[in-house]
Amino acid sequence: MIEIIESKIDSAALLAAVNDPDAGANLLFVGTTRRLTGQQETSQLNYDCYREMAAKKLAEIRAQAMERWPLKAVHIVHRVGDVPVGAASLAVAVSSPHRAEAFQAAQWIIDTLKEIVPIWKQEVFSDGKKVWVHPGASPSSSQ
Amino acid sequence: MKVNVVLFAQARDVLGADQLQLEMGDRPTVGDLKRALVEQHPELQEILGHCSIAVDQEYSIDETPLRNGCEVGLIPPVSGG
Repeated sequence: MIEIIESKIDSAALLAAVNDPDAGANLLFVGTTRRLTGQQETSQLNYDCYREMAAKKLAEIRAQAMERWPLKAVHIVHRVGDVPVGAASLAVAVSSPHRAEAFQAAQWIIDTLKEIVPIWKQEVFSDGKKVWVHPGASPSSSQ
Repeated sequence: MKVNVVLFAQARDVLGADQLQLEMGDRPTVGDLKRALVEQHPELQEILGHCSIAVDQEYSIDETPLRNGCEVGLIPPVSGG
């Protein structure tokens, strides 16, 4: 299952949903908004998304992971819009017969997602400054 | 022909719009589109050097042809997760 949502992620439900009688490993990764980046304090992240393409790329990543590893289930949920400190922006749940492939697949899914899925985060700092995070490009702030 | 370009994140903030229309010649490619973008919207030059171009929701190369009515997305370096 692939989802892009604007509300809170229910990660416990996601983990429960990948359970399978033939799975001996159930793995959940939850990415949350971190308060501190270096010395700067974040108050929230705003996520922008090219929704149609992001859904397509997430589905491709899921299909490739299921082809590459003997997984029982893969669920990926990305939250977009405003995500406050401590709240989850990403949850990835996988299940497999043994743990090694679950760890490998989850790592690959998250790494690949961060490389190709058209979703962008904007840091909103506690002083009100906002900066888009575009790795490799020079930062530009507004407000 | 006219090409519609959808904008995101910093590119959208720079232009203050979530899409724009470009007037292009015949049988344009993605390379032609990048040149037209800089000519018609020079304020995009800096971010454009870091952007990928998606055509109908697929990443493209400079040689990718543009069809009438296709959707072009300007994709700044992504930072999901």
